[in-house]
Amino acid sequence: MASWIAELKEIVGSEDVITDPEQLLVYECDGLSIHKHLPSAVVFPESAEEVANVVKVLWRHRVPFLARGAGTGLSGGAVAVEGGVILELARMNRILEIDYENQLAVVEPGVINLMLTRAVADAGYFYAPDPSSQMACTLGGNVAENAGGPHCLKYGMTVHHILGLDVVLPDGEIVTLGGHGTDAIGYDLLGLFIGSEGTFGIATKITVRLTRRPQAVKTLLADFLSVEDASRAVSAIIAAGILPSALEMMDRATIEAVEASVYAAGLPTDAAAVLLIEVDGLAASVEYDAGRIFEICRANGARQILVARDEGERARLWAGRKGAFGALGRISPDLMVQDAVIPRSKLPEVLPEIYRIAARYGLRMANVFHAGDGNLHPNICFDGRNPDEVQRVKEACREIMELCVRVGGSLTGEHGVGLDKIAYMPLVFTEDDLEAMARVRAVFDPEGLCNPGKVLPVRRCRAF
Amino acid sequence: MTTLQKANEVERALISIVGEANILCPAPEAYAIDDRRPSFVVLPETSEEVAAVLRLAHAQDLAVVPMGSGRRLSFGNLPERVDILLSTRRMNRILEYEPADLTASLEAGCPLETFNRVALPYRQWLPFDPPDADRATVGGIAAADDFGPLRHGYGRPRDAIIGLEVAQADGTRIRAGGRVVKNVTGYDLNKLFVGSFGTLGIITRVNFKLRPLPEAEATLLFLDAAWETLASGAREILQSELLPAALLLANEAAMSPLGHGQKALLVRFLETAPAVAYQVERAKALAHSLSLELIELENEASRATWEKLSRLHRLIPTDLRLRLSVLPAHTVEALHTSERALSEWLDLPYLLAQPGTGIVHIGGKLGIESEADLPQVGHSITDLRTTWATRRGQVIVEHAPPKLKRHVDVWGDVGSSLPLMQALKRAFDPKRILSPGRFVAGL
Repeated sequence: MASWIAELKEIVGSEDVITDPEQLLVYECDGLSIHKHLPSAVVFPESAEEVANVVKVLWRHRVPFLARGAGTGLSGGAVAVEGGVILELARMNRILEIDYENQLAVVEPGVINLMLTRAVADAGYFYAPDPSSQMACTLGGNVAENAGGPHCLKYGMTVHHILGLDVVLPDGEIVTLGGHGTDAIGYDLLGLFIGSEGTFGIATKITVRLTRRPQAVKTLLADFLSVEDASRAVSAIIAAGILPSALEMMDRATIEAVEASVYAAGLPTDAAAVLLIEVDGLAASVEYDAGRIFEICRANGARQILVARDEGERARLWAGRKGAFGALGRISPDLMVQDAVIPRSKLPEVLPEIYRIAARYGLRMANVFHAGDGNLHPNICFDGRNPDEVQRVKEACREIMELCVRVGGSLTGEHGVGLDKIAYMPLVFTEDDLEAMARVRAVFDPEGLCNPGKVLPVRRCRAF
Repeated sequence: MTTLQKANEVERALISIVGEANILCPAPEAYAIDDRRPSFVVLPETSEEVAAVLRLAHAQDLAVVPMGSGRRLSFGNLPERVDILLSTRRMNRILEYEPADLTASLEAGCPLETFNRVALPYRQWLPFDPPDADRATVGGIAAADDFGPLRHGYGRPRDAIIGLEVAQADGTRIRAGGRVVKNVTGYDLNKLFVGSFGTLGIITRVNFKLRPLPEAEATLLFLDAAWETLASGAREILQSELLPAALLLANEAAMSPLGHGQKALLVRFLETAPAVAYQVERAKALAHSLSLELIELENEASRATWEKLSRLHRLIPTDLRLRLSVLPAHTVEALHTSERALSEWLDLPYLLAQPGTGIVHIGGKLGIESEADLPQVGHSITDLRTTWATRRGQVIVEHAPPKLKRHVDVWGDVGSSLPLMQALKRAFDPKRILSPGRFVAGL
């Protein structure tokens, strides 16, 4: 046993350090099962001090490490690619402070996204960023990935809702980034850290902004006989100056999968695509905007437009949408949940092309995505045991990425680069751009120990 | 080589980059930063020219300070040195504007007003209202992350910037972000450069996500003699369903250019017509229940009021301006403590506070007998800073006469993240040629 393992056991207790290969198997991948690597150990710290002490030991022994929350990430970000140590933060799950007067809360990184919203719901508040995995994903992971979700269209990403962070740097120092409710001075290290995919350090305390529940919400479901019509409706809604709180699209393959699952929401299985559209805010403007959206969908070929009559119907529609990935998972042994962004106006042009790419590679494709943001999720159902199919999945993904970048888009809207998209980075960034990013990384992590092998291509080998 | 020979050589090199017509040498008085005049003012036309100027400066070890319209040129500590003042005035084009995507890519020197005029027929806008908004360039807004009362409803410019092009200290050009509204590809270097006041690179191009222009607007003025009454009005609004775009407390001095002699709470609604109408009625009922005097301003009158407030420091004499950031619940207390702490030194100080964000702006004319009193003023500011530091608040000097800056750091203490900031400065500007000395901790 390595000497540092004993040191870790002294910090967190020997039962909270896993090194048994069978137990480690649980931690060999995140939500994207195509990338698997076994960590050398998993530790379960329970406080910022324990995190800092664990990190100090690993820093001294030059052992690579990374933090992990619920492991729901979809870019291979929480995988110990170099066989390092995983700090599993699920036990740091306390809500430390809720301050309604200043509309903020202070939480530990292991708090589950939806649990925070539940904790403040009775007071009329919620935490706005709502990834589809919000029943499981942790706020620490959300910070690491700058997570999005259906309601980001109106409310913004995680970065717009974090006020301050306490962070354990790769050498074990604890620093405060941001202002914990007030503005910070100097460089925006808070904004820089959020979305750094766990490569700059480990957040141990998070101050988040709480948002007041809107006075009214209206949820519409419009169904279309062609994906192009649905895409045009999306563009027309945005162009009309309406800012829905969510504007989601599901194609037929997704609808069929959802309706055949426990998430069945009563979606029309004969539609080519549905749009799930939500407007919220003041009752007066919600009524008004919903009316305009109704007209726009009609004008763009919507066959039928349903309005959720009550909270139950609304919840069911959302369960169908948020459960879509799970439902798709039932179809085939493996699911590649892709994530790319295009300018919204390119939807009618790009979507058909994505289907053509999948068809060319003989792959089964389902699209369910944040249409209002142009944030695509072309999901490919496949069998990871079939090497030929895996190869075709990889090639199709590359073509899709190239297509999105060609029309002015980007590689990822909310899942991150992780391990999965490093190879595509040169599609959007020059060598100089990447070099500038590497310089920033070296400022936070000069030894390259913190979540190595992610986001940027590795530039040098390390011996350990 | 003598100094004169070197100056001649630099001048020749600058002429070869931007042309003789686009160099001012010696620099006119108006381009002085604090009391220091740059040797050259250069006006490049393209980002390639900006990069070439930086390559030259890097090779010759010349200090470069970028400026947009110059309206924030006095923001910062005394410069260590200024050889070249780089104006983006000629880089004022709208490079791409896609109304259907609600995105635009603008050259740094493009005035905010120019873009908003172009976007008007498409019913879109950039919802920023920093001080002197009528003169602001988008590059300047990005470099200073400069905001006004609309921050309450729309956030900071930082939150609307989706991409940048930056010329680095050595002249290498890089791009950060992109042109899509949602993007987590790689590190978000936009955040590094936005608000870095030209100390890490020079922003040459800014990509924004735009907002739909609201259909209607109205502003309500609640008038009263006591901060507490107005603050309780603000609190009730904040805890109601109402969604003001701006919420501002203003003292008598701030209200006088608007023709009112009382303290006020200004509430700005920007929404669909039915939602504005609803909110005005609700707010009126609220004013009535608090027995507050109320004035209602619609569309043009509303806009004009906020435009005037954005120019407030030009309408009343000011040579010292501070910005406090405190927890929103401490806003009124911050008004009281700063009134107490500074009224001895500031004549006719205006106070503007956003009870929703905890931002307080103070401005006034230094009323001191002699320069011997300057250290005392510096102490007052430092004391105010110390008072608030224990309660998460901070105080920034946004504008002060150079002679006062010798007695007070304009930024204050950065805290535990300072070593990271210093390392970033070393990584991006190892020769310290970009605005040296002006930013936090003399970076």
